[in-house]
Amino acid sequence: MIVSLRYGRAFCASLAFSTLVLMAGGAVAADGPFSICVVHNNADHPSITAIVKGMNDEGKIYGANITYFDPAFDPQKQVSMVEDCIARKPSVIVVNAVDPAAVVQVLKKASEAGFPVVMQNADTNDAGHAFTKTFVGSQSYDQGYAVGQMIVKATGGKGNLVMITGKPGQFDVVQRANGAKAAFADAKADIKILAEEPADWSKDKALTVMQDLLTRYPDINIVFGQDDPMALGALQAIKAQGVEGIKVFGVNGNKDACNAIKAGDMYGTAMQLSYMVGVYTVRAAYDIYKGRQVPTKMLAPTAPVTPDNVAALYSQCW
Amino acid sequence: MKRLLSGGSQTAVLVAAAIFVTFAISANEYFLTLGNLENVARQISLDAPLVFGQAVVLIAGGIDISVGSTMAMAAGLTVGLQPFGTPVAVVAALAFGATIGAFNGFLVTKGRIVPFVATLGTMSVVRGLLLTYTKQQPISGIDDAFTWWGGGSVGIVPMPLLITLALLVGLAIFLRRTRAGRNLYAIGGGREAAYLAGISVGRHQFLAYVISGTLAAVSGVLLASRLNSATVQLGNDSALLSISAALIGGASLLGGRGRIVGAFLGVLALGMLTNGMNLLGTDTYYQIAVRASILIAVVAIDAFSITVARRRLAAAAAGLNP
Amino acid sequence: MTVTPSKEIETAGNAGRQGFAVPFVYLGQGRSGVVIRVLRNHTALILLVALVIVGGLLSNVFLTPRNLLNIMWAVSILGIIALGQTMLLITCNFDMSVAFVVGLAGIITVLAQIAGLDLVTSMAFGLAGGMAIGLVNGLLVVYTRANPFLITLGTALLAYSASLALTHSQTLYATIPDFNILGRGRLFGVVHYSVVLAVVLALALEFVLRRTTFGRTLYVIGLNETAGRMSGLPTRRVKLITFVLCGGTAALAGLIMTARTGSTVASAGAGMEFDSIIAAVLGGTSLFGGQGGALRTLVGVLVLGVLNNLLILLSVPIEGQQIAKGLVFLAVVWADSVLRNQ
Repeated sequence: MIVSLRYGRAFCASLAFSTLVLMAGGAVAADGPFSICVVHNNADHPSITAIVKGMNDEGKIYGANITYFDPAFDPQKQVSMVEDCIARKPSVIVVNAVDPAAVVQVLKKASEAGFPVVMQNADTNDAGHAFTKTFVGSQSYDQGYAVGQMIVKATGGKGNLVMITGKPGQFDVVQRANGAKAAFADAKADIKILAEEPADWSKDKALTVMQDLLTRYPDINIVFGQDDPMALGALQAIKAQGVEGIKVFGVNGNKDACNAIKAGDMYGTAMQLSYMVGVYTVRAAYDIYKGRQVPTKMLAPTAPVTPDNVAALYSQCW
Repeated sequence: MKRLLSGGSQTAVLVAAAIFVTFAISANEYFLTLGNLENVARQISLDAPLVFGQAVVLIAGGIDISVGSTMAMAAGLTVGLQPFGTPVAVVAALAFGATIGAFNGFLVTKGRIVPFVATLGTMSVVRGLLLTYTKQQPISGIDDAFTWWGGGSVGIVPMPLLITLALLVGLAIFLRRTRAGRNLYAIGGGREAAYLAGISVGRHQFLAYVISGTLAAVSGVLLASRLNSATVQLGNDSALLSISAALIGGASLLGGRGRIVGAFLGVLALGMLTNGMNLLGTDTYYQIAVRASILIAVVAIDAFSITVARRRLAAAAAGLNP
Repeated sequence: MTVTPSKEIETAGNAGRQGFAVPFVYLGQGRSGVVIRVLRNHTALILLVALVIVGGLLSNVFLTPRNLLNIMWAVSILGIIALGQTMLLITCNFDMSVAFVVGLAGIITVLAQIAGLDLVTSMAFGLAGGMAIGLVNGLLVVYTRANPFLITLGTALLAYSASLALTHSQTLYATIPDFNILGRGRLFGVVHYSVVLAVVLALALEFVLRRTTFGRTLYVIGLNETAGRMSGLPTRRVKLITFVLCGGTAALAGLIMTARTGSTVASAGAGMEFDSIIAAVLGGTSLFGGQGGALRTLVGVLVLGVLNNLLILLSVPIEGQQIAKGLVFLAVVWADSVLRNQ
């Protein structure tokens, strides 16, 4: 009796499920002439949204059919999604690596199955380059380096810095920190890093963390937020405490940060040109699809946005 | 077939079948290819050991939230200790998993802490250990031959699937044919009754957590082999995935029910679901919504059927004993 | 005086316990000594005092008024969420959807402002959104008797997907400047409104729990729902209302968080579901239901806030922070469990 009841319920649920998926999924993509399968590292961030916008706009021109996958920073999911991409048989696969080493095996699989791979925004390692056509993007390390240079220039190479970082353990977090430190070392700057505290890419957490850091280190005069929202959160804490003379730097180049630089609240940000990265990814993919040669690296410049040039660069802020 | 369907696995069979048919119809040109089915098999067999462990704990009436972090740490040790020889690294990873399981078991049986809370605390501690161990950087493996265990195939059958099936058979025999295994069901079904029947409740619960920790580490070792790398990001969703899969497979949060075959079908169903939606190119928003709806439906149906069954039992008992 | 279960029949997989295991209940604890009773009832308070003393000794800036006010401002949002969560925990239920309700409520409010609605209406929309999720939670849990933990995890994902669909992963900015006062403004220029709000809500809830039929019904549901229903209490309706109120407090917290930074994203409240439960449990609200209070929860929230603050003030590296938080949590629940079993 009980078994038959469970059967009945489960069956109804199964039917409901099928309907649900078919409605949500829509039609299967037709085997179009030019299709791109993109695996992000984490779609829920404005910089990725800008890349997607660039790809969609440019994709229209080339008649590209683009599909996006979001592994939300999980390397295991990313590998599975690249495999699912292979099964969809696209013209080109685009991967934004969560972990440079973890994708190597699946890149090999894609390449052996005859699918060209373009790395975007976050590259794989040297072992993986054997299986990829090109890399399009600005590199986290370069962004960190650019911010480091801006800091040295704005402070005369002297000061006490705190860094508000993203989620511990992520590639961008480590690379942006390393880039900034390398810039300090290259300039032989006397910049003391007082603390590196994570705020998980959250503006609200950055606000709280910065409050505590201000209490702990009254002599802070430089803040490096690893993305613009966190830099702006830190800025808000500084304003709320009424502290003067702290220079705040970010990475991204979003509209809010550019406005803050214009208003003289922030001192600089490293602009990622994410929209253009999206545009150039589609162009590179199209060239590969047509069998043309593409360069092995297409690095988007990291543009330092400072109070001096913000007016000129404002139209690029996203 | 009848045996397979007894004990609550029928929901899993139906859900898995429904998902299979849905995608076979709607995405057949991609879904029903040998290459894709092999992909799905490989994808689910990495998670399967961890789900088996969760099922064992659920059967014994507990829950283990720490499986994801244990898996990630085991993957880290497998990769990081390779300079000492891969066998050493694998043994160390499995031993770590067993230790964390023992720690959970200790907290639950000796500390009398609610399982959900105890394993939540453990999760936080293990994540901290992992952050310390990896120094927040991704770490890469050096033994290329080792990647065969997670990435290789025997014929067309992925190697991890063979390992998972071996574990499946072993655990099914353990749960159904050994005294200890049957005692786990008894404890999950009712602690007081099991205690009065002379079963040492604490020792068996302890064992369930050790099994869960070790199996989470098996998933970690396979994952390390497949990715040849480990980061802090691994396993964030594993607790939710494993609980959902085990519930679809007929386990219950009340304990005492469920089978390993069911857990396997549960993880298979969820794996096909994700794969199928990816092949359809379903938007991330909808994917999350569909997965959430399935979780809600499965949990609600489980609860509803228990309520109805209990009412009937009560009615029957009343009829016998006026 | 609250009714305290002196001895739990520990049914593993506790969450679905109600209805088939009945804890032995008796009023008062005449047998246990005064010391144990104080320890048992105020584990979190003792821990808080200990943390404050340690903090004062190890850091010369910890006990400054500014730092203490900062801590309160930082945890006020979590405090408001934890109050709603406490009501549910007393009835032996959970709400794991609060984290994403925080995000969704902020997003709805900001979208309403962008659409040109006025301040009050936009906030009403945000609150209504959160209460709607609470209502869905309540209907599902009450009428199917399903496990609240997993059901609300499911609705959490639904809320998140709605937030993603509404924002397209973009940051949204509040357009009415006065709205931001809710998050940034201070009463008499000293204490933030959000702190005042958290305390007022806690006092109100404490009153409701102790002095009203509704509040007492919550305890009865947590201790023995069947008995409560048999004696004619509207247990289902009360549970439903509690879920709606929990959604409402989470939404209010979402509005404050949005007002604090002037902007919101889909993942705004991530992690707060666990933190709110941890805070309530630290404060002495039982996961078995039937036990707990609003002011206790505020103490639990303060413990978390002071701990977070001290870990930064004492320059504990991030790896250590994670381990320390886990160990403190385990130590407190262990102590709680040991004392409870004496």
